[in-house]
Amino acid sequence: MLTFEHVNKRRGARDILTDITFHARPGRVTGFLGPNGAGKSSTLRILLGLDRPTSGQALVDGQRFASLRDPLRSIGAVLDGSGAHRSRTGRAHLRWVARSAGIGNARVEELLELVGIADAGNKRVSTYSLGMGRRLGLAAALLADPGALVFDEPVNGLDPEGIRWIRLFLREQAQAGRTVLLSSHLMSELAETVDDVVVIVGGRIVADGTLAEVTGNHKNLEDAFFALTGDRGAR
Amino acid sequence: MTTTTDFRTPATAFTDAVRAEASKLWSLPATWLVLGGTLALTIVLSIAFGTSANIGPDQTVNILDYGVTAVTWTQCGFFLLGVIASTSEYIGGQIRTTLIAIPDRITWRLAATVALVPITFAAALLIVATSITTILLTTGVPIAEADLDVAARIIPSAAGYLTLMAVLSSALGLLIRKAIPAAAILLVYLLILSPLLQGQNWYFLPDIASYTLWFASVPDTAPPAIASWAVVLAWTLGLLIPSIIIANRRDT
Repeated sequence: MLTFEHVNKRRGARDILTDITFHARPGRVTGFLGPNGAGKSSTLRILLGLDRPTSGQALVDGQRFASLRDPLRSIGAVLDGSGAHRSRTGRAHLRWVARSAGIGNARVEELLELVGIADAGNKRVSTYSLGMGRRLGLAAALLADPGALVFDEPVNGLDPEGIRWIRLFLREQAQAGRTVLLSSHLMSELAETVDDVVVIVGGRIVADGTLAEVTGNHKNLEDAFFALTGDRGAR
Repeated sequence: MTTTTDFRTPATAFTDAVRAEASKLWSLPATWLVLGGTLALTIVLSIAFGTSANIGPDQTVNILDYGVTAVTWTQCGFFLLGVIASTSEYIGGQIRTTLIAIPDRITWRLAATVALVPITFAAALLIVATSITTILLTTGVPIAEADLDVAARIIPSAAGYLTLMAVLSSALGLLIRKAIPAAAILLVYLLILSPLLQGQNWYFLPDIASYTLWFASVPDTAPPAIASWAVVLAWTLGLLIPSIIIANRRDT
């Protein structure tokens, strides 16, 4: 389970996150929704130890991510871009990530096949399309067969086939018992994928519940979202 | 699917981190471009110095001093190697992947340093030995005339110094996080300031202190070798330790 307890983040005089508290549970896909700049990525970065909270804590099964000795077996994360140096090949990138977790090269080949970039494994990452870069990031996230998956805007840069693939993939991962947390600003993409929804606006959580609870009496998640955020798009 | 149970001992986790960092260095094309370029430039400069050297029976300069002269210039390559090793983390968002794979930042930096040392030391041994060999071949001085005991001292000493400077440069690169400014600071010092300071006997500077370790002829005013090593090590740790502390505290 991924737990956020009263997380606050201040940069300079600006509060980026205020009292962020929610859970992402095993066996469920939790959608973390919000407009651009709402604080979704900052929240995920704090969970992954990339940024430090001003106060509060984000925990992975009760432990801080930075204290995990086998982090890649706990969480696989796909943030923006490929997360790979542009002059290294995709295969070389996955190999160093695998070595950090004590995983052999055979698993790298499995993942290159799984995400569909085996043919491009020996090409430099700089030659990859946006979608191929996302697939490479996904392969790195899955290397150690983690118990939880964290995705920041997972469908960005993917073609319709890729979007459908990732949607089915995420559902399968949750059905297999994994905790899946994904952020997005695309309501329509999320509505067909998530079990639980957390909505963040201006660095604060404004809704947290199951898809049905958050949608409430609104026609769909998108309408509920715009009603919650008070955006002009509400109708 | 796995759980958050810790499978690895701390020692195993650290060993895996070192292997990952070594793999990163090994698979980075810039590593080989810099080392290959440094080797090639060392050979070219040694040929140039060898052909212009006035080697004769009344020659008082030790041939080994000619042998390492090219390295005083091409040591820049080892500074660049250190800078590239750390600043390459900030290209393509690799730093995020690194910190998700090795989230304990002290472990990460120690592993990166441990991985950098053997690759740099081996390359430095090769380049210094090549520099001396090139001078011997160019000047036609038989190897029997070179003092092999002194050569056996200065080659590993030079390699040790170059390795520590790569570690120092890596620390500076980590602090600045951008390759060009970090490289510019180091190159301006090495190529402009340091040559101007050569006559000052400022042995508290790392390169000037190190020349007493890897030149055959040592000035009378030079400090003992242990003091020179202490200066080089102090500069290295003086940048390495703050870089680890700051990397451990800051957001990425």
